[in-house]
Amino acid sequence: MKKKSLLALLGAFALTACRNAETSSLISGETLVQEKFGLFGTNVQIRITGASQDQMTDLFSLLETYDALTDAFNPRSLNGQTINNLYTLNLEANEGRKITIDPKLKEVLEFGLAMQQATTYKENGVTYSYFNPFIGAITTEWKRFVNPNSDEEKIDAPLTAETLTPLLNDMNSTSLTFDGDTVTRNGKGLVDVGAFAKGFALRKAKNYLDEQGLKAYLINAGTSSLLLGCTRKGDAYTVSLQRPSYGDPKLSITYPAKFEAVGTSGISEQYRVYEGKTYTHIVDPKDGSAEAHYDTVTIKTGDPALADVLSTVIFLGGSDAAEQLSKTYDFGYLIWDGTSIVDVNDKLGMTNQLQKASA
Amino acid sequence: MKVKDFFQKHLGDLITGVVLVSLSCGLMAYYLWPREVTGDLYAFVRHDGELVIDPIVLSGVDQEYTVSLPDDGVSMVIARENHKVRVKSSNCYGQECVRMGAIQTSMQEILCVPNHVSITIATLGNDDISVVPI
Repeated sequence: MKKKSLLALLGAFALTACRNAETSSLISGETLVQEKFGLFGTNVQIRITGASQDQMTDLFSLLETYDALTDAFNPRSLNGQTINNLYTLNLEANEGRKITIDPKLKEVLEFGLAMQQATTYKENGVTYSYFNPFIGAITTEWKRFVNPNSDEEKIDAPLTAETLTPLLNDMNSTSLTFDGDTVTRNGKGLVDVGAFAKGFALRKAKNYLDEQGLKAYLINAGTSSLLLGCTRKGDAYTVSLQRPSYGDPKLSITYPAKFEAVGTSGISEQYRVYEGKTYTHIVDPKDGSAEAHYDTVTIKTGDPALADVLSTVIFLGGSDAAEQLSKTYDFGYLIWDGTSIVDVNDKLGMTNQLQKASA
Repeated sequence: MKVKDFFQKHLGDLITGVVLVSLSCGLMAYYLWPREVTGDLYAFVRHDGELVIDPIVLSGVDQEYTVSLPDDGVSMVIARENHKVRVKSSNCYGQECVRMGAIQTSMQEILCVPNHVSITIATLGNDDISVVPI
């Protein structure tokens, strides 16, 4: 009996020691640095292997700068100093006035205007334009209806033509003039870069990570904008579109992404159903409508800023827009309408069986 | 004589016993000996053994995390405060997890038996996330 007791005791200690040894081996190797920050109105998750705390701080500062510069709703300061940001530019009193801005904000605005041109296309004599950086006033109005958490006074019914027409006129008659480090907003339309601000910031983050030689990273800016390097093992990440699964991960749409960006537009976070129609925060600049025709559009491409823009355009323009833009840009895409796949291209590299079942 | 006979008869047993006790003490010392921890400490929140939220780094600023599993009837708020984690609120009937207070070392654990939720502290090590939900 004594022998058995001693052996049992020894066994117990041996098992404990093995468990500890396993932990010890797991914590060897390069350090994984992970943190979450509240930026761009969402939680931004950053995971980088082999990064120092200084590099993480640099990355945070970079993202925080773009968050502050592109904030259209709040005055912001950086390093203790109030800055001129989109909020400043959109102030009614600043219409027609030269505003000195940071070159970074200038670059963001120029990118937005360039993408407005680049994503406009003609088909059978009809011009289609689904991206307009001056849509701010209309988007803000729609958020009063769509988003129950909006700080603005809520409205109970969708916007009507009576409300939308003057706002659309303002949007279409507004432009920006750049002169050195100044910009002038000509017109009453309000600048809104919410559709691509996160993606643009991630583009800069990608440049930084490349410069620093960091490969194993993941930046998840609220799931709508992802920047993916490789996993700690050097593999591709698996991006999993959760919406089709309704809680069952086995039914998610999945695709691989490695050293790529993912931009996703959808109704998952902001939508409201009214008289059988679904409304969201993504507004068609053609007529100011916020009615959603699709559930989710996800884009995979090399440039996070482009991914954001394309996901917005294709969410509004559907397969036709995807087909037209595929002539210019190299990207994978998938359009999901809530019950089935509307369209998907090979470049997305979808890896599960849902494609066969639904396409 | 009796003592001498006893030792002669049980010498093997005694040697085995001493060896086993020595080994056990050595292993216990190895396990309990304080060692340098490499990397940040994280809180791992699991439901039935599965991670339900991303690991929470203890070194971060004070923040609250919601654990909402409607299908399992779980609704909890985990708070990171002063580099510790605690259950701030829980819908469980006993509220024992809330009363357990904050933890900050790998020797501590919070268990919410009614909700099947555990919170443990460990380094992230080579733990990898390869699937990114969107």
